[in-house]
Amino acid sequence: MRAQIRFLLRFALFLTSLLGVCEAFFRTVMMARETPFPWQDATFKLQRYDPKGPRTGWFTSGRRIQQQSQWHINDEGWNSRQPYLPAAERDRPLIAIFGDSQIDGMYTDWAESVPHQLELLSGGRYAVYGFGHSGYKLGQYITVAEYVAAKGFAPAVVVLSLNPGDVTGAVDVLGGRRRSNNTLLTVQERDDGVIAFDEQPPVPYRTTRFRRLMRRSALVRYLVFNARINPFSGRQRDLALDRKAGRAERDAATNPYAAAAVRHVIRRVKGLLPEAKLVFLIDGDRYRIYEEGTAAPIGIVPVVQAACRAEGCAVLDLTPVYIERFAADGRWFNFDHNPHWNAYGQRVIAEALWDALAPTD
Amino acid sequence: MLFNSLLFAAFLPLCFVAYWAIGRTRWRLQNAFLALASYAFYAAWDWRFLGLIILSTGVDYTLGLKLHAATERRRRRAILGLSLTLNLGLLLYFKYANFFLDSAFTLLNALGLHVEPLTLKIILPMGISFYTFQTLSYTIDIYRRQLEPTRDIVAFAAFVSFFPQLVAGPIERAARLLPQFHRPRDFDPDRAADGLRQMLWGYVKKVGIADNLAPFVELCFDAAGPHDSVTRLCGAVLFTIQLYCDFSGYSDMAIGMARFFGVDLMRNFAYPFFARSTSELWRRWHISLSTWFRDYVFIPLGGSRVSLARNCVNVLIVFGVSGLWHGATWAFVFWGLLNGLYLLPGVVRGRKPEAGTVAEGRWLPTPKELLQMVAVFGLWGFSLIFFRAEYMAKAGPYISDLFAFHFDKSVDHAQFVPPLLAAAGLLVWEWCTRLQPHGLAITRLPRPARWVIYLGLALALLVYGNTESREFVYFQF
Repeated sequence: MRAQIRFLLRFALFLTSLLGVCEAFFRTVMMARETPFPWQDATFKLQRYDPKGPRTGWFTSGRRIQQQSQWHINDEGWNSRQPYLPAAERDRPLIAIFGDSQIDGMYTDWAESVPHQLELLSGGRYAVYGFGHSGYKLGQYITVAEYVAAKGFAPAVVVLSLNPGDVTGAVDVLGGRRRSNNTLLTVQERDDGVIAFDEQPPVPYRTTRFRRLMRRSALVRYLVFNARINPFSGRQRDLALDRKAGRAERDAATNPYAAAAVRHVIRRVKGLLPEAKLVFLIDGDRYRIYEEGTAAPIGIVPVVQAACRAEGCAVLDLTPVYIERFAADGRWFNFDHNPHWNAYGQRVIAEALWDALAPTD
Repeated sequence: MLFNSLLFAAFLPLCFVAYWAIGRTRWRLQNAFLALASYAFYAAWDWRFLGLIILSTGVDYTLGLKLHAATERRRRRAILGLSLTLNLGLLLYFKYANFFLDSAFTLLNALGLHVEPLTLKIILPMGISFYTFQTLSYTIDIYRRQLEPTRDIVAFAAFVSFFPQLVAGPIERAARLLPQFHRPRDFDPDRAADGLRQMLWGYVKKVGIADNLAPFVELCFDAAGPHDSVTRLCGAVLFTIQLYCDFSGYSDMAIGMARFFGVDLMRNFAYPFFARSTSELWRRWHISLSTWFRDYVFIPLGGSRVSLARNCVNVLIVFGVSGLWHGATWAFVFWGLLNGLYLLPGVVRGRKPEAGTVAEGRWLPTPKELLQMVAVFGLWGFSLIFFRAEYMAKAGPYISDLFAFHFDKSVDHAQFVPPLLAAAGLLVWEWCTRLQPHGLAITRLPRPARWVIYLGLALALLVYGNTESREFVYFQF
C-alpha cells in the first residue's frame, strides 16, 4: 500500500496547490461574490443583512464574472448608501419599496438602483428607501410593514414589488414553503365559504459555524454563487426566469386563494400603514418580449388589479413598459446571464414608477 | 454515471482505495470487487440492462469453454454460430430492429404495397455495441485457437464489465486484457500519475472543448437556424473537433483511470488530424474499432490477398458495416461507405499508409504534408456531416447550403470566432505533443512549468468548462 499512499499524497499535494491557486485567483483576478451576512432581528424576525458584519463589498455574478457591483449595508441592515431615518428625523416624505432581490439591488451599484433613481427623478422631493431582500414573497410584506410602522418611517407611498411566483409562494395551498424565512399565509376556510388566512411568522434564521467558515473561502463562494454548481445534482441551477413559478402564477388568475391572499395583504399593510398610498409594481415576462416582441401580462396581474379596484390601490404592470421600450431600442432589462434587472432595467422601472406616482404629487 | 459527474468524482476514489485495500495478493478478490463496482457503475445509468451484461458474460464464458473442448469442426462452428447469434441477436434487436423494420416498410411502400409502419419502443442499452464486440472477440479468438478460454468466471466478468471502458471503449481484445485479470496487478505510482495527467487531458478535451463547442454545433446544424455557407462550414469544422474531443477525451479518461487499478488499456486515438492520408487517419482514429473490423471482418473476407476488385468490395463492406455499427440509419451507412470510397484510390494504387508521425524531428510540416493534412481533415469533416445529421434527409440540405457559397450578412458570424480559436488552440497544442502518447505527456518540461500547466488547465476547466454533464456522443452507439 505504500506506493498507493505515496501516489495519493502526491495527488493531495496537487489538489492543495490547486485549491491555493483557485483561492488566490478568485480573490484577486476574477472576484468571487462577496455577500454580507444574512441576519434576522429578534423583534420582527425580518431577514436582512447583519450591520455588525461586513458593511461593504463586491457582489459579482456569472461563471465568468459577467457582472460586478458594490454593496453597502446601512445601520438597519438594508443594501443602501443612505441611512434610513424615521419620519421625525426626515425633512421630506418617503416612498418605501418592498420587494425581493430585485429591490435589494445587489446586482447594480446603489446609484443605479430603483430607489436611488426614483429619488433623483423626484428631484429630491422624496426620500426613497428600498426594503428588499432576496427571497421575500407577498406574505413577507406584512412583516416588512410591521417593521416599517414600528420604526416610524411613516411612508407616504408604499410600492409592493411582485415577480412571478411571489403570490403562489406566499400561500401554503399554492406551494408556499412551510418553515421558511418568509411569513407564510395559511388558508383557514370558514363555514360561510370566505377564505381567511393565518400568518405563520418566519422561522428563526440559523447558520452554522461551518457555513460561515465556508463563506470565507473565495473558491467556495465562486462555486456556490458564481458557477452555481449544485453538488447534489451535478448540474447548474436554472438561471432563466423561473418558468415553473411562472406557470403556477398563470393558473393564479382563476385561483380564489391567490385573489384572497392579495386582498388580505393589502388590508394588512393598509392597516399597519394607514397613511400610505399603495402601489403594486408587477414584473413582466421579459424573455418572451425579447423573443417575440410582445407578451401578455403575467398571470397574477388581473388578480391584483381586481383586488386593487376593491381595496383602492394602484397597479403598475411593467409588461407594456417593457414592450414599448424594447420596441424602441431593443435593449435587455436584465443581464444576459441572469434575470435580475441591470442598470438600464432599474432606470426604466424607476421612470415608469415615477410616471405612475407623479400625478399624485 | 458519467465520468464528468460529481457522483463519479466520489465513486472513483472510493473504488481506488477499496481495491488496493483488498491487497495485491488477493487479486481474485480484486477482480470480484472490480466486477461488482462496474455493475454498480452501469446500474447507476439503468439497472434493468445489467442483466444483459451478465447474460452476455455467462453465455460467452460457457461457450468459450465448450468451444475449446470441442474437437469436431462442425461442432466448433455450431458453438461459434450460437455465440455470434446470441451476441449479435441482442445487438440487432436493441439497436437495429427499428432500422430494419423502417427500411422494410419503406421498401414495401415503394413496391406499391401499402403497409402501416410499425415502430418498436426499444431503449438502446448504453455501451451494448462496445461490450458485445469485446465478448465476440473472445469467442472468435478461441475458435481460431489463438486464445485459451478462461476458467475463472470472475476474471471474465471483470474483463467484460471493467467500468473505465465499459460504455465507450476502447474495445479491448481478450488476448490483451484478460491476462491482466489472471495475475496480481502491480501499482506503479509513476504510471498512475501519468494516468492522472491523461485523465486531466481527457477532461480538458471533453468538458473544456467538446461540451463548449456543442451549442455552436447545434446552432449550425439546426434546420431552423441560419443556413448560409459560412455557418454550415463552421458547423462542419466545429463538429469534427467536437467529436474528436468528446470521444478521444473519453478514451483518455478510460485509459488514465484504468492505470489506477494497474490495468493497461490500448491506445484508441493517435492524433488523427495529423494524418497525411485517409488510410493513416484510420490508423489513428478509434484504433480499437478499426483493428477489430480489420481482424474479424476484413481478414475473414479475404483481406487484401484477393483480387483488386474483391479487395475494394471488402473495404466497402467493412466500412459499410462500421457505419452501421455507429448508428442505425442509412446516413451512418453512407458515412461508412464514403470513408471506404476515400480509401479506394490508395487500394487501387497499392499504396501503403504513411509510416511514423508527420514531421518527426521537425517543428513544422512541409507544404505538401500540410496540404495533405488539410485535405484529409476536409474529407473527414465532410463525411461527418452525414454522421451528425443522422438522417440523409437532413444531410442533403446541409450540404447544398454548404456549397451554395452564400454569405448572409445578417448572421452573426463573429460568434463562431471563440470556438474556432479554441479548436485551433487544441490543434496547435496537439501538434506540439504529437509524438507523445497523450497531450499532457510533457515530461521533458521542467517540473515547475509542468505544474503551472496542470494547475492552469484545472483552473481553466473550473471557469470555462461546461458543467452540464453532457453525455458523451459515443454513448448512443
